Amino acid sequence: MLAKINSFGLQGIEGYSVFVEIDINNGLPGMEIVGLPDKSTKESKERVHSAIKNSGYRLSPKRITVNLAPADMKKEGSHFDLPIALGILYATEQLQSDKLFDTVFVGELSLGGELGKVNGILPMIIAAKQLGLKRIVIPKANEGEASYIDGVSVYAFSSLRETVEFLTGDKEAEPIAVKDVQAAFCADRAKENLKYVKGQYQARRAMEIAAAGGHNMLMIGPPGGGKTMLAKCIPGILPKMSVDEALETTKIHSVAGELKEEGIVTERPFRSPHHTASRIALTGGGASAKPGEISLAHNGVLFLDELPEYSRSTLEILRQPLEDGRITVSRAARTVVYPSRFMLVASMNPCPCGNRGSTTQECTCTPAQITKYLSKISGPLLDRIDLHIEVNSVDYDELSSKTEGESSEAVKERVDKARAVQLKRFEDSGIYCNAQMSSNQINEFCKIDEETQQILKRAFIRLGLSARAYTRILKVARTIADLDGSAEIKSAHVAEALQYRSLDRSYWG
Amino acid sequence: MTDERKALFWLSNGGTPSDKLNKLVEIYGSALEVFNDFPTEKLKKFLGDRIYSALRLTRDEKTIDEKLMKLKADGIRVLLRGNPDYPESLTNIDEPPAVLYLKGNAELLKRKCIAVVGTRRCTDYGKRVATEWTAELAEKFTVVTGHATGIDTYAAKSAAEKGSLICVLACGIDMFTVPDFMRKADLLLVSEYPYGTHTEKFMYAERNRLFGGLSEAVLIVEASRKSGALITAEWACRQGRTVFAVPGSVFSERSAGVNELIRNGATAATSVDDIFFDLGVDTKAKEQSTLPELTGNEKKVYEFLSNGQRRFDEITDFLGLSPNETSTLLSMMELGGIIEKKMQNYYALLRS
Repeated sequence: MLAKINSFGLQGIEGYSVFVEIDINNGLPGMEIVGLPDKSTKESKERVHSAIKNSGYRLSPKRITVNLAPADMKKEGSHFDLPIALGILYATEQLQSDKLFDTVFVGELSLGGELGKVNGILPMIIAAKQLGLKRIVIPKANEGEASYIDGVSVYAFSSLRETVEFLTGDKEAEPIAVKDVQAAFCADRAKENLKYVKGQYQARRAMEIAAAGGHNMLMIGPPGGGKTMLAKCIPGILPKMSVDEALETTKIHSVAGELKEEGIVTERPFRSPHHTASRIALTGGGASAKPGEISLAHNGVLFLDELPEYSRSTLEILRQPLEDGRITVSRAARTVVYPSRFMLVASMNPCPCGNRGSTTQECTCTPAQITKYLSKISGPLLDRIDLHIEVNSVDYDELSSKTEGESSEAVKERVDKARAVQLKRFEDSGIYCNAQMSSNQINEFCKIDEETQQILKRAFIRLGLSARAYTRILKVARTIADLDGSAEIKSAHVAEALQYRSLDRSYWG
Repeated sequence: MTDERKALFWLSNGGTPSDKLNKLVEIYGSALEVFNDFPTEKLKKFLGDRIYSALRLTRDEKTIDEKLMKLKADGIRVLLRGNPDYPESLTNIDEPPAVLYLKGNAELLKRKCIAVVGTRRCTDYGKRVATEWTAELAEKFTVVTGHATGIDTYAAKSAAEKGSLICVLACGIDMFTVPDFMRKADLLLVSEYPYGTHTEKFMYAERNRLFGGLSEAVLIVEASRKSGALITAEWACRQGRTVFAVPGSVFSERSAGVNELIRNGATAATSVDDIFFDLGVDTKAKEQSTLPELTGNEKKVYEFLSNGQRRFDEITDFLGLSPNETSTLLSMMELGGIIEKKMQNYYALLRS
């Protein structure tokens, strides 16, 4: 008897329908899986074999052929175990059910017949919903991420036996309850709060601007100044994620197998890959074209600590994603596009020893060493970073003072307001914040009057600013004006923006 | 051969160091006598095998002429001691070079010169002194410096931009790659080493005597206890030149050398005007820069900073403004040329 069971495969972060066909023939006993399975899928036969036996069913000594259709797409992952096992049970006439053919099955089997967790459940459920399928059976361990989609009945079971009993009607089961996405957002978890950051007024202000306008930011300062602490505060002042954003980010995390217990990403991710990370770890790829750090940081923050320590080739690949908000990963087997719209926050020391510019400690670097250190960051990359700020070392008095700074909540309120202004401004233009403005849009939205023009001109001559600073300053000034609630960019806004271009200053050269 | 000059060139070109060369000429009476007397055991013993065999191979008027032609074709001038153009200041030092190889504007040797040198491993402080002071010195003097990184390079850059520059090399003149910033400058390259000589460590110490030799005074910007700049100072002192040293922090390892120089009697230079004054150079009274009109807060900042640099946080707290208002204010003051931003969020009054 031929069985044809519904299941799903993954292409990037999208699920696609796969039919698992099982046929039993006479011949030498054994199982053959066709349809371009990878190693983990191929090994399915051993797991299925034992799972069926240990769940109390028989496996007849015949030749079993499994086809994963469409047969010309690469299949990977262990989640085809469940549909294969059920198909075999049907084909060997141990299972009769009318539910079998209009239900989607995904799940990995252990040798004992238990259902185990798999990656990418959320995109599969979303795809099933889009295809109009009514029922889907998933492992119990994946319950969390499945509970935010309504319009499709999701059943979560913990073993093969339980699944079979549900299908035959021996056991009643209820689909898992749909949880309210909004409720998940309310559960605020403890994170770094700006009020515990001592001093660093300029850096705090720059962070506010960066969060409001979506600007990338580079912090320069000696070790121990609190650069990492500041960076960790950023998620707390970023505007809240929308439901669409949350689902988009959850999909990526689901595919990468990074989802936590609660099953949905409701807070903007904060990713900080170590500087030894390879290019593939950042962009995604590998044999199975998995998403990398920059995609996991989608809608959130990518924090690169000690920027010049990353290899130059690693940094250069950030250029395309920073521009387009997505990354195309091409491998022999497939080409996948992952979204990667993140805010880049980076930090670095002023020189290899870290004491340059300090009044208390002596810098031991030679000019050549400093030049070499600074030159690791290429112009094109710097071009994409709007704010460069210096974070100074903190002295004991400041550290020990009891006064708290402004809290993240208060800052966030202003950020939200400024974002709302931007969303309205860019309503139909396909961008969301000031940082993403094209040069045309800069001309349109960043008009400055004659007086301000003069200030900019003087700034270029006196401060030794480089040409690339011009548009950056205008963009940042636009955000400052938005924070100020001002429709026009005033000279005060531009003047403030001048303070956030440290690396363009001639004294850095 | 009858030309004394060719004989002198032959001796120098073979790699005879200046002290031995001077001694030979003294003993024999002239270089020509050495040339004529040449292959003797005594000379071999005196000069060493390497130089001796080099001299033996080139001891032939045709070879010498060819070498001179080649130098001429490359635009190198060979200046022999005794030539009226030979700088007089060099004649009264220990071991004056018998031959100078020159490339560039040789007229610079006749001008008033001052040497600016210092450590390779300079700090931002040293860099600033080298850059800013040299720019001012270059208005009155031709600046003599080396080609090492650090202070020498910053001084050279500044001089190349503002005036004229003599760069004294510790290698053959053809072995030096002229950096971009020197290409358009009013420049003279000077070397006492024959064409094609590679740099060796001892040459730096040897060359350092020419800094003082060519100049009226020597300014040591920054030097640790072991810096080669101290050798320059020592030579200059022996040559009777004024040695200026820029005092540095007593905690800074890289100013330890200059501070010790001052302790030992070098003149502490605290401004370019000090140097001009000590060397008897007329400086026009500088125009008194009048402070621009300051608004209330600007005035407060000005007074706050008059005791030294302050951090952004301190200024903000002092004024009681929000950080964005402070940023705007400081930007405007920067553009007005009243203050400047420094590293690590420090702000300071701009030197008037």
